[in-house]
Amino acid sequence: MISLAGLSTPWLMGLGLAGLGVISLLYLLRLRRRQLVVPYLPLWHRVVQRKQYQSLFERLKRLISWLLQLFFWGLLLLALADPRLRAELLSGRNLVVVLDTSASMKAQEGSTTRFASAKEEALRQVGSLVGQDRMMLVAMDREVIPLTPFTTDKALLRRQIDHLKASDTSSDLRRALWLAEDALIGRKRGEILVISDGALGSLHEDLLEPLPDQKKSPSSPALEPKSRAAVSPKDTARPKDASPSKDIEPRAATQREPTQQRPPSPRKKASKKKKRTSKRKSTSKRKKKTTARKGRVRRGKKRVRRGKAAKAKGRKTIARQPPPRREIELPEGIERKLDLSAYTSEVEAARKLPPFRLVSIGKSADNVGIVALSARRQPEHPLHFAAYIEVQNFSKEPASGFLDLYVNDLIVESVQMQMRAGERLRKTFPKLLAQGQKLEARLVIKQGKDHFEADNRAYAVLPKTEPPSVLMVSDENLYLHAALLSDPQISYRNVTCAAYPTTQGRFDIVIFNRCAPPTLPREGRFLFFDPPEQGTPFEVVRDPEKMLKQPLVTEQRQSHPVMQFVTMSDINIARAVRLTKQPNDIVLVGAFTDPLILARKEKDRISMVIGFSLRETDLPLRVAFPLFVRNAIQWMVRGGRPEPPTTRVTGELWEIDLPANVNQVRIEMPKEAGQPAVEIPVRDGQVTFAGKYAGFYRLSAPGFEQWLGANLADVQESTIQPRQMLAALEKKAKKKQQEALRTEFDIAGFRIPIPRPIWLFLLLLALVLLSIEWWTYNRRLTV
Amino acid sequence: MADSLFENEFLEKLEYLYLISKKILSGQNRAERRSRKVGSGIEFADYREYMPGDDLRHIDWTLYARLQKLFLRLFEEEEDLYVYLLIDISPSMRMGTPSRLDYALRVAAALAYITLSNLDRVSLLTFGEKVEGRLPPSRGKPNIFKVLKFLERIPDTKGTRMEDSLQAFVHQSKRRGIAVLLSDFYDEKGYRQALDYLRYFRYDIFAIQLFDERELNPDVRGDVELIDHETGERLTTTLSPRLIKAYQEAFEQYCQELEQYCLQSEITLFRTSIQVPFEDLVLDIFRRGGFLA
Repeated sequence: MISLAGLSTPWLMGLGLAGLGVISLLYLLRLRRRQLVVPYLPLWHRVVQRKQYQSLFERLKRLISWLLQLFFWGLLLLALADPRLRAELLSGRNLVVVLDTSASMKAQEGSTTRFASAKEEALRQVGSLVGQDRMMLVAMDREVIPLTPFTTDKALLRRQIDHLKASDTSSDLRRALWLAEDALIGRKRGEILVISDGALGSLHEDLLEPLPDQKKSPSSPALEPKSRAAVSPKDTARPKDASPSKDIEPRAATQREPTQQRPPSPRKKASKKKKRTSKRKSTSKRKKKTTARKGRVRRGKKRVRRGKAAKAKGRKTIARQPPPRREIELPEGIERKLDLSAYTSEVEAARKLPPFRLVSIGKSADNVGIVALSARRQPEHPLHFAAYIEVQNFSKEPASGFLDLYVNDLIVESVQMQMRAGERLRKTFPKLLAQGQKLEARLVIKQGKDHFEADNRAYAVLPKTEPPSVLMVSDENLYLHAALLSDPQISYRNVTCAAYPTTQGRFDIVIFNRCAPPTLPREGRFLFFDPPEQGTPFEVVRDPEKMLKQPLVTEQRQSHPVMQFVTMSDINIARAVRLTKQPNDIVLVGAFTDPLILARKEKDRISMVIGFSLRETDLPLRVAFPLFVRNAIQWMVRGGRPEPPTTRVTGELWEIDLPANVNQVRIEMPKEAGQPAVEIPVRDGQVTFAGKYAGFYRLSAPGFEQWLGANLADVQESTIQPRQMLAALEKKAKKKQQEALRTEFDIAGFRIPIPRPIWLFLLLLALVLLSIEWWTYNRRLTV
Repeated sequence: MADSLFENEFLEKLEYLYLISKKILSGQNRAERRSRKVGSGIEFADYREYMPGDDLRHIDWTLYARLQKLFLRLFEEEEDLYVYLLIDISPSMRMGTPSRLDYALRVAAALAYITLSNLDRVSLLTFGEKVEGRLPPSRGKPNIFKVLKFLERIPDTKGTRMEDSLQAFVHQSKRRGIAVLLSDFYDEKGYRQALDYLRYFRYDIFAIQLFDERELNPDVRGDVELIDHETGERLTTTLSPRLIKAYQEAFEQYCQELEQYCLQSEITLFRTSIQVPFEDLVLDIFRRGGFLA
């Protein structure tokens, strides 16, 4: 019924024998006797001889003392052996330890880092495993990686913990909790232990205690939603912001890259939440009728009902903010549980909250760091770049220092920074002539506290574009000439339509104005203005009757790289050819159902058609025209891909476009990371990679080299102030664990709780015994 | 030393005391103590027939008139008493603060003062392994200073050999008298032989046994090593309340043996703790015990 879960039997035997030997030896040797001078020893001789030889009891008393000591030692050993109920041992605990490896764990705490403390705590947890206790180790940063299965192998767990390294990404607690909870399905006595500093980002506000500033003012700058690397090029592009020291409007700080979704504002969130709640209610009603639901979804229903009941009773329920739900029409035969979006929105809301415990690591909150860096080509001068940097002081003391800007490790700008407590400064560095070079921002703090160095550097790589060679096949057209001349990167040659077939040379792009070749090559990039019916890859109708007259621009694909910074909504067009959209065609500009500008990307050929004459529109008179021409040329030169971003966000999945001839690319990590390089195969001219460390990445292949800059640039991660779990959740988790641990004896119908842990009671008993021995010794009863 | 040992009031009280001798012991000089010796005293003792050569002044002429025979009137001669104060100065007497020896010296000084006040002769003798010091008999109160000076210069000794010491004493002393023995009676060879010597030589013996109550109740418990203060002999034992009680019983038995012996040998024994105030011993206990009057 009782088994030993602590020290192993050989250890117990060894210690027991050693203790027996030592105690016996001490009793044999006896104490160092005190000396007592007496006037007449023969008188004592009489007594002592009689006592020593006649009183067996005196000897027995010493024996009793010896036995008491041995018993005490035995109890201690038994406590170390950690006796447990066999049933308890057989089931064992199932512990999921989620170790935070995010960037904030690199924060310095005295002489060590938070991550080192977290690893120590994890090792302690490994040490606490006894009997059949199993542990699963999960590393949590932006990715959640299970490092081990549930195992009792302590050596494996220790090895994995030793090899862990903190990354430069944020953390995703919710995903980690999902993983842990899923792993615990079907396992008894499950526990989830999160070892983290609690700097887990705004996604987990419902799980963690709010920061002191949050309690006071929800609109504090420190609490703005994440601005992940993320400043829209629009913001840095403003000619008004030419001064390097001039701040940009606060709105700009929270904007994201065009490819990223902007997080909803708190007000929107609230309204969405309401909608979701009502939707959820209706959905749950619908669900009741559905019988095909399984597993967690069923469990979720219960949860929803329980939540409703709690609300009805006026109890405070824990609000959760699931991501917005997307209703997806699924083909018939596919079960809804495979719908991950539905899973996250509904099931998550209905899931049981994992009984997790947060071991909070760290104390310090002082940090000054770069929270955003973005660099982009300046539209008015394609060879110039502008860099936008945000720096925030997270500590409660003012800080000062320098913000240095390096290009290829050479300092080009240095700005002195003076920041009040909690202040965020925004700096713009325009006219950086650094195409194809590495840009690095370094923050040097001279005064103030900064315990987190990972965000003191930010990296960007300014893309280099080769000057495209353009052949313009057109009879005289000044508008096109002007547009091409406006970009100093473009070198072009003009031939007439008649002379085109005999033209020699290799050009990146051929622009046809009001004409087309007899036979269009299968390879190449072609731009057609006001095309004829024949000779273009597009279906063109030039029948005057069927041509569009004064078409109104109703549609513009603004997200397409060609349409960046271009507005055509109010241009006037006298007439346009009727184009027919093919399945692969992209309508960049359209008038109701008729496309006006079409783009087509084929295997080896990219072509674009503008379905109206430049002489029959006011577009050439607008600023948008040269931008449109330049965008179109650049897009086609890049093979129909958008311009690569200047910075990447650590932890996100990077889709990197590579030249078509590259089959495998070698990615070298930043030097600071100390990680080995990886070789990744290229598919469809693209490679996918998730970099976890901030710095410059080198991509190389035979005859090819490219650099990438990756940044942490996360306000939430830079907010290194440790946070605790919500008290209500902690209480709930504790109660749950206590329930799981409760064990009782059933003796003749009476349920008697078993003391837990037993070793504690053994230890108490040993102490009582020691006290008795001490008392009897001092009372000279056992001496 | 007189000032430090005794206060004036105490000294005044001492002057009213004198030692009671059970035996009539002859002295050299006339004093305040009656002796068996018939001489020129005042107190009438007896008659005897006149012998030629007798002092005619002592003939009782009234009796001659009645009986027609010459009888001589005899008077008891008053003589001085020899008091010997025998002080044990062995190491066992020196244990503790104050020690038994300190106490014994004060008692000896008091007795010497009483003796000298009564015009008796007092002699002091200190002994350990042998007779260590001796003050010849002296008479008259002014000699108290000699006594005190002697008591101040007590030499060190190594052990106790009471028998040898007292044997030497009796052989060296020509006149009998009162022998006051101040000792703890801790002697490996025993005290009987020593006291017997005094008895054989007809000394009037007063034995004063001194003990220290602190020794009977040692405040140490547990495993100890007992060391004999005189011989250095060691004994390891474990002191427990029972053992200490047994020791106290053994001590009591030892004292009873001494008492029994003294009773049989007509030796007056006083057993006193040195924790008893010195004045009480002298003014009260000795008087009640018939040692002083």
